[in-house]
Amino acid sequence: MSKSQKLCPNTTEKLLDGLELPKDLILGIPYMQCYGNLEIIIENFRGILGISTCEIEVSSKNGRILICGKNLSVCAIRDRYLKVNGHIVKIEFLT
Amino acid sequence: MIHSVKKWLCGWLVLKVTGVKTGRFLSLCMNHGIEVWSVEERDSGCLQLSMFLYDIPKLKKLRAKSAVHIRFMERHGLIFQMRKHSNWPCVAVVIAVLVFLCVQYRSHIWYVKVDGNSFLSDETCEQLLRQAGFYPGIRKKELDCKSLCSTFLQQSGEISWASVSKEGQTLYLNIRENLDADSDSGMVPEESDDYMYSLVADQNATISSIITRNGTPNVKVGDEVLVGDVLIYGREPILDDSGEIADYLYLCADGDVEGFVSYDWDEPLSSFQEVRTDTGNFYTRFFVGIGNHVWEIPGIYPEYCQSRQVTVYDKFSLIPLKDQFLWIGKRNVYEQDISLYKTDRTLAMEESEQLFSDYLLDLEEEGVEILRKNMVIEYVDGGYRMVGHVEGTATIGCYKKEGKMIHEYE
Repeated sequence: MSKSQKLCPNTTEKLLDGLELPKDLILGIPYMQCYGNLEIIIENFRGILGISTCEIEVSSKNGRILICGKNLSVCAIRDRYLKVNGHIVKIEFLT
Repeated sequence: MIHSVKKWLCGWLVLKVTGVKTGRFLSLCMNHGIEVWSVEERDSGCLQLSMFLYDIPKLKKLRAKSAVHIRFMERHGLIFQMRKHSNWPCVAVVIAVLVFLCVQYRSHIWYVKVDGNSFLSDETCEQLLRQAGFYPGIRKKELDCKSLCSTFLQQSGEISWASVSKEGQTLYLNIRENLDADSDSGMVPEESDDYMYSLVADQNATISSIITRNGTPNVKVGDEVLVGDVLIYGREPILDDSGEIADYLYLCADGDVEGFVSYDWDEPLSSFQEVRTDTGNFYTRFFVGIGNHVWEIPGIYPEYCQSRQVTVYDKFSLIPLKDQFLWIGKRNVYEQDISLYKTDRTLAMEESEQLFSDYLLDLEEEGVEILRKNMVIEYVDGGYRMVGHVEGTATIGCYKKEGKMIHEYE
């Protein structure tokens, strides 16, 4: 990242920070909640790309999210809501 | 837990989805509002998941889009259990019985509500209704309100007007009592009445004034009369040419008779005075009701001792149907501390003054003009008694039907 980019963050994000508004609603980025490495809840994602016991890949506005682990299973899938159980080892953000 | 109950009631299935684009299938489910849970990978390219029964019709389109193969593995829920155990006849019988009971309940009159009675009790009115031919549980079609009302009026001489109506499962009886109706001392009769009405004393008194407008006076000022003594006869003599009484003209006596009356009052006072003070503690209980039946929702905290609590009720209607058929209410219970104090002379004086003033108020409402009053507190056998004496003037006299008109010669 260049020095200018470090010093000048996105104007929209700056505005949201100042007004303390939720970014997931305004920007459409995914919202994640982790309970240790046992459970993760992802909201506001676009779709599911792949499911297996070792990897679960979902797509979002910013890119792809890859969850790696063991004995992974999807507890529930609802409207833009995903709950994953299992032994989570790694979470990757892929562009 | 709610999810589990919903699953059982709605029914859910376990599916096996095989294909290349299983991820796309899940995305399509999510976009079409289909709830999916317990997603697990069984083999490569094979998923096992669960979904509700009512979402199955939507899968056809999604299967075509994602080119997957769906196989139903397990079926769970109430509807599948009922099919499995072939309980449909039992359920149908139960439903039919419930419907029959509801229809029977609605087609009969079960309750009676009496309004307008102050002298007659509700039980007396219901007894009179039974004699007139009404009983709880009578069919609505068999009940004729007009004939019941007329029969009811004929049986009860103390009721001057009555109205009977049915609404829902309740019979409404509105009455107007004839409190002044007395067979011996009735109101002023009609002119065509063939009876002689005299004015008689209704209490012991000493006559203080008498004004006769109709009839023949039998007493004068200063006479002492007892209950039942005739004050004014309901007749006037007719004299012949020689001045002797030839006949009597029977009529209704009319006049104002006042007399000096006295009342004595002797009542023991309570030995202990109870003083109640609020502790500030209270709890609320809610209850629901259907018709006249009440069910209280039990609370978590124990109730106070019955002799220490004061209950304030509040009732309001949740569903404003007729007769407040369905309603909900709440009961606020406040705790009070009760302290007992042995009555001393000061407390006895306070209590007796209150009681005596209430007694005097009652006498004034009855029309007694109080001239003198006296009240004494005595300490007898370890307790206090109040002894009172009241003198005053009051209008005495009530009408009495003497009998059928007869002609007397004296």
